[in-house]
Amino acid sequence: MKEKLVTAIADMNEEEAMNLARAMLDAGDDPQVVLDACTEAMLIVGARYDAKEYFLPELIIAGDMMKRIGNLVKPKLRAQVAQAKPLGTIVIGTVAGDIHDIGKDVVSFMLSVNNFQVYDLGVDVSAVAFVAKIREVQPEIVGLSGFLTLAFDQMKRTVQAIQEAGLRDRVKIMIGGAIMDASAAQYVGADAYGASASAAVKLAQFWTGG
Amino acid sequence: MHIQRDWHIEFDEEQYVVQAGGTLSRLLARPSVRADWEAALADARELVRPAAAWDAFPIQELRHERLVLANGAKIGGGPVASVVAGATDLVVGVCTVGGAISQRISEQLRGEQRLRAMFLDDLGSWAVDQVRQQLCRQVEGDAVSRGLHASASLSPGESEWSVAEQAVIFSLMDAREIGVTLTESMVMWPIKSLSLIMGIGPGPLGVEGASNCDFCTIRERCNYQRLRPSLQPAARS
Repeated sequence: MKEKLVTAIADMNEEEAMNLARAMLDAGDDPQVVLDACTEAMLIVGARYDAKEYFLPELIIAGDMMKRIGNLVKPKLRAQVAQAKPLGTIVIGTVAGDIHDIGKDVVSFMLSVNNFQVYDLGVDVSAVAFVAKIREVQPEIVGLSGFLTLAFDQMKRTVQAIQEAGLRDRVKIMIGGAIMDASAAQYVGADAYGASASAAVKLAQFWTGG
Repeated sequence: MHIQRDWHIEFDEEQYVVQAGGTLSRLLARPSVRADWEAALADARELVRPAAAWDAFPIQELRHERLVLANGAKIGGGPVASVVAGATDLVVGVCTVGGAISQRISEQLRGEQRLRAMFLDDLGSWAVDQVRQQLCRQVEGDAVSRGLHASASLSPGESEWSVAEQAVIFSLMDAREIGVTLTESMVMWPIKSLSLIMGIGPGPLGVEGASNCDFCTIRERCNYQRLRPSLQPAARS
């Protein structure tokens, strides 16, 4: 049944996926097996997105399925069994002066359904706010989002603030947004750029060994 | 300054499917996706408030790749000088579809209605582009009727033209008349807005017959250029 669940999620068959997940849990299957099926399916979805077989709607639908299945699984996990440890912690936000949010929201969502602990600071986030949150939650990764070319300079200021706070060597920094590319990442002092939500997830998984 | 609000906005599903890519037509066969799409369509039709404001300014000279207007304002950089080369007047404009769409998107994201929000975001962007296309065709048509030529249009942030030049556009005209303002960080509010320039002149201009897509550095990744050939001319009553 696990393989059927993987296929149902990957093929965007929501109703079938939910029915299979419920059936597996009702039959007493290990809830972790259900979660593992979700993870496998998301890898397939990501690969299909990279191959331009799937697009943003499929990523969102798959993410929604993951979330709904996760809500089914959580009550079944016994207290003494640790929940799947997050692969890592990420602080993400749209930098100060920019208020574009939908792309960042999709990335946040995809990271969370791929088992990352995400702290989304919202939009128009100052460098000071980024530094404060990094100190508080000690993430492995920081994500800076921006849509305007003027976001480059604010991203650079944010990276500099993280550096000045003595935190730069504790985090990996990725940038994202419609006009971001490798040269932008170099300019702002980030470690990499994510060309898409799927790419951001892969980068995060690579950096955390997930 | 001209202000116009009676722009025709059309949300055609077939055109949207073309823009979004082949899988969407398959996804729309699913009841839940269909429901989100139709809800987004209903929202877009309910909330869209198209408006445009524009004005024309005589060009005095080109100096160091920047246009010097007769009123002393300077604007340019990037491909501006080459796009409008030969123009005697510069049209500057701002287009918007209002703030209600963006507000609804934010509400939907908070309510985890992501697919609906994504559809609505796409429709909002498409709508403001439709206002832009119609405005440009209208300005061009007006120029041609007077025996003049019109250049392609260009927006700050496209190609190598700095988005900071939006400040010049907003200094030349009061876009608050259509409810659009510019923040210090060059974000237009409402967010579903854009600004543009076009050149008008007596002879052939730098770039004619092109669209702003031709100058865009991210056109390979853009879905909207697939929509352009299928857009119908505006029919202003």
